[in-house]
Amino acid sequence: MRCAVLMLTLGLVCAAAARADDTAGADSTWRPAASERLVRLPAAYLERAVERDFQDSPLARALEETARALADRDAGLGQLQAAIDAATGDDREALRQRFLEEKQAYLRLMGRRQDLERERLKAELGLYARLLERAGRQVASNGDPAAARLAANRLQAQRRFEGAAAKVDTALFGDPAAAESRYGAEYRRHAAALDRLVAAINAHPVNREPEVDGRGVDRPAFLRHLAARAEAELALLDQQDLVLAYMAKLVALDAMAMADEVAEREAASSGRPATRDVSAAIGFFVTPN
Amino acid sequence: MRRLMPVLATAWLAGTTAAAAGPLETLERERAQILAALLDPALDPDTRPARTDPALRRLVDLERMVLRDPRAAAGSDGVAQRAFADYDLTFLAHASVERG
Repeated sequence: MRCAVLMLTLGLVCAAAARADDTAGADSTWRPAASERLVRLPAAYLERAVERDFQDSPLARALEETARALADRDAGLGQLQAAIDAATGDDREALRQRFLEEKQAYLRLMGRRQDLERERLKAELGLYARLLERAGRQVASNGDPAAARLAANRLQAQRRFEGAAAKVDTALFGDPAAAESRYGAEYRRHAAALDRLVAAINAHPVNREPEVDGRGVDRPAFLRHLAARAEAELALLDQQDLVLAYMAKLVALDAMAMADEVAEREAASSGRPATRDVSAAIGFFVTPN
Repeated sequence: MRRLMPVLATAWLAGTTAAAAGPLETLERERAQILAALLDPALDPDTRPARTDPALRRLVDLERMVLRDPRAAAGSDGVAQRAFADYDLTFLAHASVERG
């Protein structure tokens, strides 16, 4: 009995080790950097740029290979299950054992995929945290009182200037159009071109304000939204781990039940005499010799 | 031009001679030149406009450049701080017309 259980367990362990996914141990990293380029990208485009960076990483390749291996095993499990239903006798037992081995390998692969997915989400979360930190630093530097005072004074000066510019030309030079300097004419021409370009930039689809739940948000709010989404996915991964743990427990219970079944059958077929009740032998003793 | 005189004199007395950087420095220089021409006793009323009118055009342009150019306010050094803190002195031509 003990030997049968050991054999079965060893068989499961060896089979699982032999089928361990090929991607384990390979380089499967993704270290996204909060680069200047990423900081300057339009917020709505940021998500796609991060995704593209991830797709070029060894981690994405490892995840892809694991997903492919999982799909193969998924199909194999279905075929095995169908074969068990159709088989009888020793073939059925062999297939049942194989099915257990395959389920264990499948769970191992699922675990690997979960680990890779967790690594991706943690890297993504770290990236968004660093981008938010940079945005925060920018806000803090904008909070320099001297710079803020200068900006406010400049804005006030520009407002006064806008209100008086036409009056200055008329008052000092008579007809403003006739007296326009080369700088004035060139500035006006360039300003018109700039206005058109700025309008085109603002209307560009890539530059559109990012939206969360159909509402336009600024860059820090969008980054916080992306970070919260990554956190939520991490929490769901933890829950999926629990599902996998229960699956593994079921596989172990199935293996124990099968080992018991095999042991019982071996005992029945070996013709070992059943242990008799002590009282059943009383006849030998109560009758005088 | 007569309207400019009181303000120009105030600017001269205020001694806006600090060394500035970029467009502000050029503006300061041009303003000093026009003040010098306006206050030059060697120039008579007929010849003075020949010196001051082109300078005034340049001064107006330079004031606009400083107001429009973000480089003028880049950094929070004392020169830019002082320049934008006192519109009437820095943007002399525009302020004088604005005030009538």
